[in-house]
Amino acid sequence: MPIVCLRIPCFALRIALLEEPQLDGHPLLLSNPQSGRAVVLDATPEALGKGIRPGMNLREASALCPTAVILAADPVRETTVGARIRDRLEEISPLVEPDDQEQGCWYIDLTGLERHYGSPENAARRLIECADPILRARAGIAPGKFTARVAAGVARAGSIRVVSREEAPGFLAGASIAWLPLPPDIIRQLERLGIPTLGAFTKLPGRKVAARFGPTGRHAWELARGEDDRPVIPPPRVQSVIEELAMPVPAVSREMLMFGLRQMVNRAFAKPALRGKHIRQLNLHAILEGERRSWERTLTLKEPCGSNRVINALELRLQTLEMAGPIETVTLEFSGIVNEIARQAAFPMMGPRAAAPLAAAIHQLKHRYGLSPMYRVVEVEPWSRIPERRHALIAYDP
Amino acid sequence: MVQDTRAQARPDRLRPLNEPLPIEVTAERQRPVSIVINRHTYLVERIQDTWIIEDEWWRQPIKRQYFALLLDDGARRTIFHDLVTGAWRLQDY
Repeated sequence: MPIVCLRIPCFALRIALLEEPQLDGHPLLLSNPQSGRAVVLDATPEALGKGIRPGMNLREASALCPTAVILAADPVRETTVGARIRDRLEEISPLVEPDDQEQGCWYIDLTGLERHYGSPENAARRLIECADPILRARAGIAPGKFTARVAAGVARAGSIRVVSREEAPGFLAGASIAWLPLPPDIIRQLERLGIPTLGAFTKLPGRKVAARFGPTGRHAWELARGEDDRPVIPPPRVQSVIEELAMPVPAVSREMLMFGLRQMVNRAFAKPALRGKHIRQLNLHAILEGERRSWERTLTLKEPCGSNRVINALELRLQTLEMAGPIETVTLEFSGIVNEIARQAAFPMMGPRAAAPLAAAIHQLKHRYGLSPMYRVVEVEPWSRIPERRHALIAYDP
Repeated sequence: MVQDTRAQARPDRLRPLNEPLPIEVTAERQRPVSIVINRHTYLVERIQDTWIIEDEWWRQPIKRQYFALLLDDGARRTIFHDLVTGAWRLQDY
């Protein structure tokens, strides 16, 4: 059974249509209006048709298409909708892998499901139904992940494009070079070198591509030839505890937000899943009042922490936070759950008051063994990036 | 001018801390899948972070790719792949 790629182009923009379906068919632009230099991050085909391109200045884009609707990214909603679609896809096949480069793109391996769904097209149809029709999902079926993605890229909304193993080289030859998983500057370089398609790219000798672009280039060259045996590897499910708080009054100050967060952390650590445990990572999602806007932050802790240290870390992180607007709902996701860890206390006899008896003890040990068996940790190059250069043990000889 | 104390330099008395330990690792596409510690095999639940350090190119070049791993027993371990020799080592960062 081949691999299916389910793709929702302009995912962030399509998500907005779930709430405002009347905007469907309008030229839509995704931008970052809060930042200093607002640029077009993504655009629907209707906007691209007006000459708007991603990376263009927002003012320039508005001049080209005055009717374009500018939307800000809503990361919380994107994550939620993405997770919901993935859950639905997993009801059809357990092997679902989200694309790590593109949001709104999943690979599904249908191996062993022939008796359930018959042809791969039937299965792909069921997969397309997992996404809301307004998201305009489409599917590509091919023997490898890369070919399936390109096939999904050329399929029309709601349709399926099937590429067999025999057809794959010919089909890929006509596809744009931009499909390759290479950094944008390398794609631009290739285009400037007069290599606009995958077919032209495969005509280059593989060793020369490897010499010029390294292992990544060589891998891309193999993909362009249809040589892709990468399996679909579902990412492991992360055990996490989620705590949500709808603010009684939208939080406008950092202090108010922190008050709510403190309550949430204490409540979460009182739950059986976190009792007596420590966590390593914290995701903070906030939904802003009124407008369809949100933000999220990920806090990776240096070492596993309990509730008090998590609160301290949050306080520290929020000191530099610019509140983008009044916060209506906050969600905290605690992950990287590990058993409680203990910290080693200082050796009791190493205190300054015990210096004399310690010196006497070491003197006796030196007499007996010929050297001091006590060592002291000293800093050598604490700034070094090489861990074994930072500290050393030196004989403790008071 | 600082007077020569005539004390003998004893670099041998310094013992580096946190030296990397050899470790057996099963990797797929240069990414660890399982590691063996004290003859016990642990599966890698998640690669939490990875980074590369390149240093001391002027004498003995050091090029390592570190992986912060979450193991199947909940423990967190940091290992690195020595990109010069190809060996895997266990070392806290």
